[in-house]
Amino acid sequence: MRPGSPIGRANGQASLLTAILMLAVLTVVGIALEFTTGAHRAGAATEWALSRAYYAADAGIRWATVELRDPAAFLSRPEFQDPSNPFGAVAVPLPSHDHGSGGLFSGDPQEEGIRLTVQKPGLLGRRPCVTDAGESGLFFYLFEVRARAAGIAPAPGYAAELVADVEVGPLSADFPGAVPPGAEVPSASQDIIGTRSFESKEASCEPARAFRSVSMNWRER
Amino acid sequence: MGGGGFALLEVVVAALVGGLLLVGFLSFLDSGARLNKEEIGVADAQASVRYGLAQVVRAVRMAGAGGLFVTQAVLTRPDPDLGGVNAPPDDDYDNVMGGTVLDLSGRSLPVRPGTDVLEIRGVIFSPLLGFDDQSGCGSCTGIADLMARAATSYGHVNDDPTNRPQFSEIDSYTQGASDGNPMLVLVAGGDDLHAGCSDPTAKTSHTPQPTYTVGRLAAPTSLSAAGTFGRLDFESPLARAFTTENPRDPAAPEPSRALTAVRRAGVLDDVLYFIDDSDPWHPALARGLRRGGRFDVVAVADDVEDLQVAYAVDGLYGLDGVPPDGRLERLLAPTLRDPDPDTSTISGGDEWAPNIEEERAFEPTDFQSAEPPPPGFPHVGAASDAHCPLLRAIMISLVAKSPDPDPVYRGADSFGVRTMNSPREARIYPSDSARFRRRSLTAVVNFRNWSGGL
Repeated sequence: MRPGSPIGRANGQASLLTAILMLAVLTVVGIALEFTTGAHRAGAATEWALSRAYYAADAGIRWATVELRDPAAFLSRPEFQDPSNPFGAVAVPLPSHDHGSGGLFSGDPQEEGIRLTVQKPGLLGRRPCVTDAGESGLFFYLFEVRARAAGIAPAPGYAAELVADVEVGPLSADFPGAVPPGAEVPSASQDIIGTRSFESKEASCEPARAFRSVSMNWRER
Repeated sequence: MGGGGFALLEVVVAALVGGLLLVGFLSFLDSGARLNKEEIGVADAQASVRYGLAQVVRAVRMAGAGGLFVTQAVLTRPDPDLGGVNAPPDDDYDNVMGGTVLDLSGRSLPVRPGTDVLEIRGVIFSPLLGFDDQSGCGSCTGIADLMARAATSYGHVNDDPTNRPQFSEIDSYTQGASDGNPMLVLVAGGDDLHAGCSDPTAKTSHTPQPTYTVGRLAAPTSLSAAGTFGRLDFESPLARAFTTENPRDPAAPEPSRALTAVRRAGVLDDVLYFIDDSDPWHPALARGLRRGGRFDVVAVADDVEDLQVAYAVDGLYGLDGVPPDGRLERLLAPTLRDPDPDTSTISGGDEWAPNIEEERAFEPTDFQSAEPPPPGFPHVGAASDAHCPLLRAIMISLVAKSPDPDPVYRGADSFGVRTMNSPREARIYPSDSARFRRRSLTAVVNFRNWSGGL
């Protein structure tokens, strides 16, 4: 076949057509695979990022629940002492354990990838600790605790905020730090307690002085 | 033929070969396009099941927030006093056949046959406020205003326009409330009706169970402008149905329970998750929010065709001779055919139900250590360790399908996926039905609001 002949030109066109068709098919397949893997990857990444923020915030609630077992010390932290700022917060830098050159999750454990903040607990009230012998003079105190975790640069696109009530006690009626400066101390007449409930709470402080800290009204904001 | 041209036969053969090649390429192209569509379908199914499960899990984690009894926070059967949902054939939420949910427009939305319904309650989608002795609603009986302060006298901040704009959030959330479209407000005290459930020496600390009442809200709140939820009707039969310890009991008798002081209050959500089968080709995971005797229903995720739910109850059914021990575990020893150390594939083999065929749905009373007291709430005189919560966790499974059928797909899931105790006849579709690609996802959630402490 001579170059430039009609048949030669036809063969060349057929080859071109074949190449174009092959390219089109491979492009479609490639796009499909890219779409699928991209969607799965994006979904998994978002889920992972949200879970990470969620569990970091949850850790903040649990940390505060533990810290409130010594409420006088926790509530007297310097971050909570500015009377003009009821939203003072303890900041806890956490690594995000991103992927690094060493493989999966091998990023710098010292870098701050997530910022966890635990706000100053808000006093919600208290209830008396009643024993079989009657009122003990001790109280269970209820605080609202808020924890927020957010990714920081370079990937700040996720955050989670959790709120929970933490009840701690029994504690004395005037333990230091329970009531913020300038706020009212819940007096006996203001105790948030119904008389009828005394009748069914004979065991609320038995065994005597058993200390506990429990969380409830746990909510995601 | 002169001049070096081709014979007719050569041209015909060349055309034939060329045609065959073209058909082959077009077929290949078609396969590529179909593969693209299938993968998009799979990605859609995967996204639906992920998103749907995330939404359900987020709400379920908050069940009971505000102070509800465990028996009122998670329901396994419809509350007969409230209406809006029916669940034949057994009047429970396990494998409903022929069930319906009444939406705001009065339409009965069909629940996809053989799927479960999940109903949870709590202050879930809007903030929970704190109170002091200068706010609240007095004894919170009859019809009363519920007043809230931006900051309580104890220093707790309920609302701050910059840092904590909760009043405007509640006002916005209740915008749709009206007499014909009422909402509910949960008002809780600060006592502990089940104080004996905690035994610190045995390291079991349950959260306090406060006395609470519920009011009917028939107008948007006005917290930002006037610091009030507005008038709440605590005697409304709708509201009183939420205050019995057993939701199957008739509504608590009038007058409603009096509170001596309010510690917590917020808008109570009664949330229903179900598979809306209005379009059987495209069933959807739907969420319903109770508004009186109807539900405000929205689709959460498309093409979700099954929802299955199992509950973990410490002690299983209580009366089966399996005492609560504070742990979730197997009740039968592992075997070669049932080797998992934590869960069993044999009916009654662990404390999860109903995730195996033949396991019955839990009764509300199974969620507590003793039969809840009858209407009227005579806790006085009852042992304080009588009604301890036993419900520990929930397992939720979703199955989503691709939006369009895939006639050539031959995978094992092409005619359906069974999960937990879903009925075979409802979930495995006949061989002459359309084939779909499917994805399934399961999550386990530990309840946070009535157990656990340090």
